[in-house]
Amino acid sequence: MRTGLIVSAAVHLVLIGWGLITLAVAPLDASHIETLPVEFVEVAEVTDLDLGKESGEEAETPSPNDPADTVAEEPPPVPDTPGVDEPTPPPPPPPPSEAASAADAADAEAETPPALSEPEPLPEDAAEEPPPEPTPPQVASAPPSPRLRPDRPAPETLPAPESPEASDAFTEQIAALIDRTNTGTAQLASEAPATLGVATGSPDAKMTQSEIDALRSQIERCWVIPTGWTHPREVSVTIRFGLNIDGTVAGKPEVVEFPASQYGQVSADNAIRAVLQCGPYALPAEKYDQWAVVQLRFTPPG
Amino acid sequence: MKYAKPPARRIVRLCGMVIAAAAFAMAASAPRPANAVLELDITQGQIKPIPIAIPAFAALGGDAQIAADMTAVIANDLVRSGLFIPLDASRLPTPASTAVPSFAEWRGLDAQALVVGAVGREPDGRLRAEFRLWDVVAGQQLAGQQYFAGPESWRKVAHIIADAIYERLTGEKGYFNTQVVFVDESGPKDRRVKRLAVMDQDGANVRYLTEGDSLVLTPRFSPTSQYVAYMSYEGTDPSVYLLDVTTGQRRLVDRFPGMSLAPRFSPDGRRVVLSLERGGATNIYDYDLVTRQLRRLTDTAAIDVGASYSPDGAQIVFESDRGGSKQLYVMNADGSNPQRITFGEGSYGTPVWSPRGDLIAFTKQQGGSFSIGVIKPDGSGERILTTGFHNEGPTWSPNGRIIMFFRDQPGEGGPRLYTIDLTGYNQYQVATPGFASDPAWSPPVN
Repeated sequence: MRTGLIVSAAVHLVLIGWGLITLAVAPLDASHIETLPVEFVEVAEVTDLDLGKESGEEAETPSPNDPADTVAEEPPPVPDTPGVDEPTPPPPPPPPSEAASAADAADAEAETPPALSEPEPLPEDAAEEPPPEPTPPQVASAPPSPRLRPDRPAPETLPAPESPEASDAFTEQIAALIDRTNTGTAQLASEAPATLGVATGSPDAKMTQSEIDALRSQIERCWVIPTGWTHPREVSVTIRFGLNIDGTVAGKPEVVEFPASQYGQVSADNAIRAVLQCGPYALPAEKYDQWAVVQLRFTPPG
Repeated sequence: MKYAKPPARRIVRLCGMVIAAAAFAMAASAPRPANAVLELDITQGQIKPIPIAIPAFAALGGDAQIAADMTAVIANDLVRSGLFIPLDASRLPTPASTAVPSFAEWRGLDAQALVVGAVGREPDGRLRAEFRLWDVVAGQQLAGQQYFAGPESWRKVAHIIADAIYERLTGEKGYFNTQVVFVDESGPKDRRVKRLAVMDQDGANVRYLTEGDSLVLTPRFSPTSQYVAYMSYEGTDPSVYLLDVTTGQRRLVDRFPGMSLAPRFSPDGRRVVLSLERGGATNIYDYDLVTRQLRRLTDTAAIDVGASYSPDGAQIVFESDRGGSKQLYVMNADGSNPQRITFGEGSYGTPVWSPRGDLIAFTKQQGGSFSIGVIKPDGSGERILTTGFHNEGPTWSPNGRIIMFFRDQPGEGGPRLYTIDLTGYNQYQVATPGFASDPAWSPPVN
């Protein structure tokens, strides 16, 4: 009786939780806004003149990230840090930005849209962006972040087992499962853009809105829409192309998506013509990694 | 309690697995990190004609005149569509028809497309014409064809080439290789001779189909054949005739008692819809050309005329004064559910359903002027394309992009034919030997 109640309650909880998450995340169809990076900088970082001063005192605090610590059998507790009774965590994963770009690189390889598989690949310099500096395996084998440890269910919350060893084994199994999945979720959540805007846009973009607008208007000047194209649905087309650092188009733009209407081929040709004709594009070279690959969706006004 | 412990472990394990599975599924459905691709929406562009270079076709066998004439016909077709601006031909270099053009040179002339062609004679005397359409910006060939025909068909070949270019650059079927039947008017105003005539859509190759000994009105092309239905006053009452454009043979459709008006074919070409006047009321009927069955579609005491089928044959638009003034109505093809679609000031007449099905062209009379306009079949989106002293009788090009009509201007002595595109900006007169009215566009010619 009690067993059934517990199982029933647990399954219901899971189902409700599942429903809340999967049903409530219907994407809001808001108008597209480019993601604008906003960075908070503490004024002290700029004004603290002691920072990096040659005459400054050498700090003797050992770095928690020192790989030597992880090798140590019995890591000595950090002297001035009270309450640390766990072994020193293994080296933390690469900084979020690196991890994100590494994941990007992995995704870019794994999730190439089917439409792109058939045409010839982008030129090398474009295809290699973003630079896959941290290799994907590093991310996969990255140790769990220390701050996730509190999530581990404490043994005392479980019903008291008759055989402590057996119970511990179960607890460890479950904890291991939960740990792995939680790690993935937390990591993904931390990489999601925390600002309003297009998730697929440029979450890390350093390009300003005016730079993006300049690029857009330059292409719009060259896009000739034949009169009579009154049905945007029938002629909307998406193309992708690489840019060289001097702003010239690298190779031939690829068609990512075009309508299955009689206008499909013509729309794609027209969009490619606009991109080729309007280059080279004056874009900031120091932000090359932001615009090395551009994807444009051409939709004429309805 | 004795059995509580072992099940409790199972419960824990079970719950743990369920939670783990749920968490895994949630993780799988979590948002993925974005690619480092700059994504933009382009929603504005330049709505303007495509700049196209059409240098004179090369004359392979010394037929320089035919080569120049064909080039001119192609350029004329394209410019009159309103979708192309041919560059000034006199300032263009003459590229070799067999070599890949120097794209940088053509880009420098602001051309987006380039047509390179050649005309020659085969040993058996036939004409051989070929062309290649190049995308100057992308540096690739978009189309290339070769045609063989009798030398007298050089205009037809030129229209076919223009159609191929139009289709490849706009995605729509061309309409240049088509014909127009119209009423040719000659002689002084009080003794005007009206003859049925047919010509290419650009006004060339006029042929007369009737002698001018009787009055002819409202010719209409069959959508599926080379037949024209028209009205002719021979004897006491006007009658509906069918005429084969290629052979010139004609036959009487039927003798209907009373006045019969404005016959027009159904999309399948099997029936005509027309108006018959009986007992003071004029109603719309359809007549089966095979079974010779006449069926009444409207039943009012008003005047219902000018019926025109939708391209799917399911509906009919017509004009009626049943509401007091002449307005347009749409009903099902069996005559049921008539709905008024025009509510503007003035009176509306001569409705013609577009071959695309999206618009209905009409003549509107208001305040002493006549306008040609279009409206959606649901009555929304009315637009006037041209207005003046007297504009009337719209007819659609087979691709539904151009309207031909006739215009009578004071002081000119008679009507002339004009074409206009759906923007209303590209308007051209069609050259005819004399005055002309009541144009009707043919279906695409094979």
